[in-house]
Amino acid sequence: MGLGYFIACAGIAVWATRRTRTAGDFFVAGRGIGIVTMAVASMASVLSAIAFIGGPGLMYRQGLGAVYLILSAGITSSLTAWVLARRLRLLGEIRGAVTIPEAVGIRYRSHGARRLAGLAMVIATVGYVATNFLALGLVVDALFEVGRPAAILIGAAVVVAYSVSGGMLAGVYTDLFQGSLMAIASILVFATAVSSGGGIAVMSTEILAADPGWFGPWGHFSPLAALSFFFVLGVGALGQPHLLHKFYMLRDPRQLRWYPMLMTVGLVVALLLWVGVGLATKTAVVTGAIAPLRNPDDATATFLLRYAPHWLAGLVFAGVAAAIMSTVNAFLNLAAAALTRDLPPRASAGAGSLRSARWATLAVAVVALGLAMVPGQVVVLLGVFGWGLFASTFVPALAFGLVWPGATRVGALASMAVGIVLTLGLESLMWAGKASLPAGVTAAGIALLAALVTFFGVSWTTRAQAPGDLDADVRLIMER
Amino acid sequence: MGSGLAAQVVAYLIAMTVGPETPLVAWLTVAGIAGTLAGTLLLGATRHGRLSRTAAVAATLLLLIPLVGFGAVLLMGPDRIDGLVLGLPARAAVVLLGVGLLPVLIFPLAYAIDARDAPLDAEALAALRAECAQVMPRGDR
Repeated sequence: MGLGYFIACAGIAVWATRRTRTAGDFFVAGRGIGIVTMAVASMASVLSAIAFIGGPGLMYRQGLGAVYLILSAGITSSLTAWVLARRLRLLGEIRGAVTIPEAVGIRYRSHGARRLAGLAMVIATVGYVATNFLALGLVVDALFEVGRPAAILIGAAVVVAYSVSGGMLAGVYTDLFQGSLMAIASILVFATAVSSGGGIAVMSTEILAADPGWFGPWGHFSPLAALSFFFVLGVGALGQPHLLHKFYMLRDPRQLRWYPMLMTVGLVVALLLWVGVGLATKTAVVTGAIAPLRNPDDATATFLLRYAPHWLAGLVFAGVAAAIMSTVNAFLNLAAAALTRDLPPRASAGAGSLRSARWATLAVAVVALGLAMVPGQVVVLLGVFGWGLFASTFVPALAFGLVWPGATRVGALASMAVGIVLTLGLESLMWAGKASLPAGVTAAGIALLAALVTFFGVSWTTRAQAPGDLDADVRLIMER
Repeated sequence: MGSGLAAQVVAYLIAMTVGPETPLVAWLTVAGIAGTLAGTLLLGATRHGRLSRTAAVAATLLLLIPLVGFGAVLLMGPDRIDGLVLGLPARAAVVLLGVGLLPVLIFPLAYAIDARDAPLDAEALAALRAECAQVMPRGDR
């Protein structure tokens, strides 16, 4: 099944590569994808290995508290659509915007803002890709037993090959295949999980009797920790470029109205596995059916080996590989776009050829692969930067910048600088053991809040500049 | 929006200075979530300075769902085995079904209705292009 999965990805990539003729095909899939493809591809790129491995493990260990990482999924797609979908799509239509930093630059009439956003994009994406290469290595090794270094190289080679040759066009169509696989695997595993425990009521009763805190409203987290996850992930979703970027790609902007519905349902379906495996594994442990897990991340594998047929276990492993590869592809493309279009000094909407896009994708992949192969924990640190950096950089400057005409260039630059410095600084200090935060207060949360306060505060104090920082046509787009 | 952000900032400050277990911290975070999300929806859904009725209802619900859901959970007593709701402990049911799943039924539908009333069809796009062309900076035309 694993081999079949990789062959299918390769087939889609070859087909897409033949259709990739311009930088527009490479970066925004020629602005020609349908709404179902867009929604499933978005769902696939937002879910990485955490949805299949880390999430169920966290749920097994922390109980209901782990659900707060995904609880805002019912809200975020609609909120993102209301705030950004139409506006980004129209910036693409009217101004030809292709990247997220480009939208920041257009909003504030500022190459400096565009380049700072591009810098944050590259820092965050390289770390994300490196950690996902590591995770992909684990999956490929589990499937083919070739050893960790060779597994990382094989997994990376497949995803880099289609990312370099077919760009986003290959990415969205492999994402469509991968996302469908993830959804099917998730539904089947959830049904197996509920059945293995004798139904949800039976599982609840067993767990409540043995470990009532697990099924408490915050699980084993504190109320602040659980609620902070909801806040940071709910608001921070507005700044995740691998989702926002796809608004440029839709063929018919009228179809945007169905995006939240398709995306939300897709997310909820794909996340059933998170809840189902966590619940079933905890039930199995408290009833003595299986021994307590030494490593919570083994929850999915332990559950599948014990309760699922081999073909379903294979489907889930393919689903994990799919989740990782779709995320890697999206981030490689974003980083390549930032390198070729946003960071060069004379960045403009027409910059960047297909050739340079392919070379940039390869360069980012090689750097990330180098980081993934370095022994030690540095790559883990790089991985945790990603999400928080995107949130603190893009939520104030882009999301609120596009709905608030009072925002100023100085406010946007200051907020992005604060977000970058605080995210990198706090995460590094905590990683090195030089600083700690109270339970429930996260570095990403502090950076996001500080960036938002800076954005609104500095914009207000420099409000006289606001009209001059906003082109009249961009204002018309913002009013749509 | 502003009050939501302020509540969240104060919650973090109290957590870092007094302690994260202070009961007020959880309530402030609930207010921060509700205020910030609803305020963001209000800002995002406003077009030409106006808010549609659908978006206004959605924003109100986005304020109320976390406020009522998490607020209820903070006020409810310990769970009982004989008090399951749809197979789940009562407080878990409020979190999963009320705060987690109820929005799935409401907000995507509300957005679809709101977007239907302001379609991005070819006519609207052509009109916007024409408007923008008249005011666009020379270098970007």
